[in-house]
Amino acid sequence: MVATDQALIERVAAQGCRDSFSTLVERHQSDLRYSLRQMTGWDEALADDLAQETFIKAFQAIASYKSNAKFSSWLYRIAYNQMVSHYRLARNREISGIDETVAKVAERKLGGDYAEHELHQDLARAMQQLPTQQRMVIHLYLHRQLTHQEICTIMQIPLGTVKTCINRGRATLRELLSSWQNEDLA
Amino acid sequence: MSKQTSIDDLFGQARATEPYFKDQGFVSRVNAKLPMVRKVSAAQESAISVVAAILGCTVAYQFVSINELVALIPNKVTLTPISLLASSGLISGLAYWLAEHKRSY
Repeated sequence: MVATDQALIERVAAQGCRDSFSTLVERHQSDLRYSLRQMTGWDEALADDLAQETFIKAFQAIASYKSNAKFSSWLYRIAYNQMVSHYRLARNREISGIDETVAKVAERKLGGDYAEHELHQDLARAMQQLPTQQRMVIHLYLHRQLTHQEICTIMQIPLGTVKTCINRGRATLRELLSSWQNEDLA
Repeated sequence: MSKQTSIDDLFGQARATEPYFKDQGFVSRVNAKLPMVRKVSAAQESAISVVAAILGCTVAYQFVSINELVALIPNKVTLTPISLLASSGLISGLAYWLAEHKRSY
């Protein structure tokens, strides 16, 4: 019988069972890594680093996990916080001139499998133009199909902000992805 | 087709074709970085420390008389520039260590 997420989480929280946690990581890694690629303009290395950090934080804080939320939602919340911290640090480094510029980062983003994931990478690049918060809201709403309320809970922002992010994000993406809409969906 | 639907359809298309990323060592990399689990809880650790301290004091009490210990307490302290410098350095170092320790957790 396959153990549920809840059963695995209880084992991790009570006994620090690493095998149970590995099963959880295995189960959720692909979704989280994909979401983070969408959030980072398809920067595979950065997305995987953030996903790794997210799972480590989740392990450390598993005792604070409340079973009324889905485990995946809780992971998204940690991942969002990780991403915000990463971009804040990156911005500070950029301002102080230590790090490479955003343009340089953008140049190395697209991997060799562009043709395979063309739509996904174009979406990720378009999403990169949105502010971090808007990007996450749009991804959770349009891709993961979470409800407004779930997004409020994950990101700890008011309902009005979620709705505004969705409307503004849609408008921006409509312009940025006009070629896709004309070619593929007209 | 409305413009809103087009964007939603594009995301729908992405959702339907979302790639599955194989593990490729990701799980083992996460596992390798997981912090060690404490075998003893913080409360148990504190209890062990208290019991050990009481035992130590009891043993010490058998060998050293109270009067001898009281005699060790200084009854006069002379402040010199060197001692002031040393104590302020010690306090600053302790404050720095505490601040760093708190931040890293």
